[in-house]
Amino acid sequence: MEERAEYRIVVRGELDDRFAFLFNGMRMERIEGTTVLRGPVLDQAQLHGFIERIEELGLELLSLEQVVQPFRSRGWAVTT
Amino acid sequence: MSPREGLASLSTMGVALRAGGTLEQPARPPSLLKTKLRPPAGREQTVPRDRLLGRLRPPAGTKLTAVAAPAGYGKTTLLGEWCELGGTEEPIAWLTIDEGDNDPVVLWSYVIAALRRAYPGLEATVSPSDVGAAHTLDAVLPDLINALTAFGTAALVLDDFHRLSSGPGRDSLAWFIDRVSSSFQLVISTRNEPGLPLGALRAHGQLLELRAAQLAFTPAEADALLNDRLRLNLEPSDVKALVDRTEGWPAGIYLAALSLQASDDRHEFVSKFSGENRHVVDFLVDEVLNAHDPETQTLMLRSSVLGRMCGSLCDAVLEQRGSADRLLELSRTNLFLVPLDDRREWFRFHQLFAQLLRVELEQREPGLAPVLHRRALLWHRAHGTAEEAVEHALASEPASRGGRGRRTSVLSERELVVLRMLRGPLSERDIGRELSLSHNTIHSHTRSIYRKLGASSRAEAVERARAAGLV
Repeated sequence: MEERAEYRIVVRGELDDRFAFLFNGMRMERIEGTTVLRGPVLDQAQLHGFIERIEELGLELLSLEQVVQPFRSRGWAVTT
Repeated sequence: MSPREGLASLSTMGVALRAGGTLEQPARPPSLLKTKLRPPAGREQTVPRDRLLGRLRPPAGTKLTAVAAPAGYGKTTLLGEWCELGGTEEPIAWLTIDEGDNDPVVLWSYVIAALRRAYPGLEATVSPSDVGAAHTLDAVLPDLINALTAFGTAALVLDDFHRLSSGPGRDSLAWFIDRVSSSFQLVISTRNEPGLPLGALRAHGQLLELRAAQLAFTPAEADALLNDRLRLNLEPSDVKALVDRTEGWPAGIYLAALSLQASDDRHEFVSKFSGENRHVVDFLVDEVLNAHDPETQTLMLRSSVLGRMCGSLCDAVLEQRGSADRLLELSRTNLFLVPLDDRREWFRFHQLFAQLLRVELEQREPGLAPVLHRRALLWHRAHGTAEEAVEHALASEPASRGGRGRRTSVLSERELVVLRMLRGPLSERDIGRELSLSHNTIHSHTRSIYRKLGASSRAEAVERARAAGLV
């Protein structure tokens, strides 16, 4: 079973849990005027979809990082 | 072929003329095409932003004006106003970009149509669909550039420029910008940094930019909106509090205004609003919704899954009657509902607002969205508007499917043609030969198709397309 990558995305402003459905059910935590989204991401296409959602909502993206590395087999394909 | 008929078979001409066979192409409803070529109608409630309009007259030598800011900053509204001001004496051409314009034949056919609409005397004679994508740079653009030089002063707005992804369409535009004469003013509005060589333009002083910092509302502009237009009778300190809290973000200020309209104690509302850590959108959508009667709320929430909408489509999706009147009424009081034609038959929600409504819909009626998509799909199929049927087909599978992440962006007509051919035995190179497109173009379409369908192989793409009723 391949382990997926996990990403941590922080946006400015506190958002209610109901916004999680736009981000495929990522966990949401509100910390001091920001919202931290954290969860597994299927692949780069999905990640870019999330970024687009953030752009569509006019949210300010503060940070985005991969916090859990996926299992990678040999090869250079960018999947996540 | 009259210009009108020519426009109607825009995307098919390049393919049909070369391939020589019959290709079933979904007919584009005429109103869709018209709306690409005109700015949104001016609305009474919008505030004329003279300080910004003045800046849209660029200094000599400016090759490109870029209005670059996130969603909800009023880019389209501003440029629409600018267009309207030009009127008949100094007309300005308009084109709203969508994903279909990534194909250079489609893009330049529309650009030429937009320019001809504003400048009937323009003598651009090379038709993109006649020569095909491969000859954009050596036949279509040189002819157009010469025609524009001969014509004199002209201006073109490309709205929603961010919908052009990397590829031949955007590249051809970069080529054009580099070579067109300085009497031509190109203005683009975009949500992100456009993939054009802005660095070089900036360095040479050939770029004019209006960004979020300039587009944000000043307290004076907020006052004009809130007190002059909407007659909310707010104290200056309250206006300032709203501007501070939203940092001048126009969509945020307008959402606050909509909430305030229904509010009994406006000062109290502003205090509460200012004190919140919650993001503006999170706080306000509830307020805006609850200000309406239940039927209108249902209409707003359920139609949020639609792209463009008319009364009949909403009736089908809601399984109710009376949507046409409600849409008309709502559009009078809510700037986020944008009329798409003069007859006020078609509308769409501002994308930001639609997104917020969708979140709220999922909250109030979890799992209903796919059902609504299915109803919309059936309506579109019955009315022959295939492109939108495709979008709803993709979205009508329940989210719990557990498959790969999938963006519900619609496949362009050209992508649909390629997808159909991917079912067969031809290699990408041979498909290219069949369609008179380069191998690179086919490959780029194929990658885009995989991405949109969440597929990682040709077989998977075809399978998913079949499951979604696309082929």
